Amino acid sequence: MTIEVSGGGSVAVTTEAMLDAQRELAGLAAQAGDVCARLAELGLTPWGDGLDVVVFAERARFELGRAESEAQRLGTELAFAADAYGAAERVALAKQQLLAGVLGPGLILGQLAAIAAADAARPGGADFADPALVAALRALADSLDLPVLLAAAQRLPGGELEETPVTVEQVVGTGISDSAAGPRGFSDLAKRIPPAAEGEPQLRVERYDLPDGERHWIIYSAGTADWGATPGDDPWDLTSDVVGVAGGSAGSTRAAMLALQAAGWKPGEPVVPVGHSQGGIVATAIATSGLTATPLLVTFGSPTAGVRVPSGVTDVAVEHTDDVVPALGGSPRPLVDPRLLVREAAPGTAQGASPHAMSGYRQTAAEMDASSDDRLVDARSELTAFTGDQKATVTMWRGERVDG
Amino acid sequence: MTISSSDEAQLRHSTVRTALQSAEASCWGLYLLLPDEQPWHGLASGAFRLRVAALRERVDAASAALNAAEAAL
Repeated sequence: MTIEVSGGGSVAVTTEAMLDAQRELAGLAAQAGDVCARLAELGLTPWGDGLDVVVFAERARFELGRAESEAQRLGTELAFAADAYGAAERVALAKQQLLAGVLGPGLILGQLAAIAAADAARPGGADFADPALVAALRALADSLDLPVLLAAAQRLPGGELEETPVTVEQVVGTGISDSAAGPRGFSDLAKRIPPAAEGEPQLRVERYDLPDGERHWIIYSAGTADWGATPGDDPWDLTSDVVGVAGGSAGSTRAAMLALQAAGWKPGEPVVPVGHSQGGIVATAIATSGLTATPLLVTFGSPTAGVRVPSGVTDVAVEHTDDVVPALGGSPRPLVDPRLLVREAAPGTAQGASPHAMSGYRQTAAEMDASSDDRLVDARSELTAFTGDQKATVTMWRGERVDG
Repeated sequence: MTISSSDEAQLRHSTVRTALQSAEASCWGLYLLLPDEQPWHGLASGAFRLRVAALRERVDAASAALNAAEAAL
């Protein structure tokens, strides 16, 4: 698998394969130049070493010299090609958004139906992991006015998608240690996100007491546990999904803010929010709340591409190209995507795992930690600086809906 | 100890041979540094493949010339 990193305030798109090729070409140019220099130092002469030896050695020097300059040029052009690749991708995205805007959701729905039919016709049936389906869903999300749709849905009888007040309670005896070393990278962050499971805590809060007296916080949010349209006890439900994507005050987000406050966080204290799926909606809402100082935001498979995050936040978004959930958040602004977007095809799908599963995102996070991409290296440094290499005080929290 | 001109010629001959052999061995390292020609960036991959193939030909030619130089010693 090869991860692809884009954005982060830059228009460049680079992949690990491109970086590897650039490194190899630089090494090749240096080594060819070194051999050239060694041949020149020999000081071969026709009268001392023989004419043929001089001619052949000069030929070798010429070829190696050309190899050196061509390898240098190819490495430089590779960087330009990477930029052009990113620009072309954004232009294609802009065209799709334009199409959605001009022709409306009807066309996109037709496109979706055609893709779904093609999926269903495949041996083994539909897998809903088609990149074309993901692209069409993203275009559909772009073409819909979600707040208007949500308002319409909430007027329907039956209480579907209606928000409720929430409450939180600390959960003890989960088997999770109340003290932990700070996360060293994306893999540690991904591993600490609580699993989405009925009755289990949805939030993990870590407090770091820095030597200068400052307190820093990391909050990890689980994904959706309840897919019913009518809200039950768990705020990590479909209602919070839809309300959150529509930019409303989702129950899960309110529960996360309550958990932070109950853990001792004071408004203004720095928080790094991390989440998977709906947890990403929660994390993004915290980062954009204006209540926290957030240097870093990390989301996995989250439908939040359309949310504008404050410019001082390093916004690391991890999306599997065959995961439909991030597509439901629509597209970022095409020409200036401020996110540090990491994409790859979901690992593990050949073994039957869903492209949206956290297990696949954990593997991608491990690849991100192994990456030498400067932006990912910087983000990891930002994370370790944030925790100050201190031990965390860990608490687990569960939110519940209460009747309004 | 006295070094005769024939000894000097032999020493020079040996130095040049060793240097040419070492240069040729370095060419094998260059092959290892040629990037994979896999199609990892779409339409540009065809052009990239050709450029890498041209680099490989340069290394081939250098290696052959070094062989020929050593044979001509």
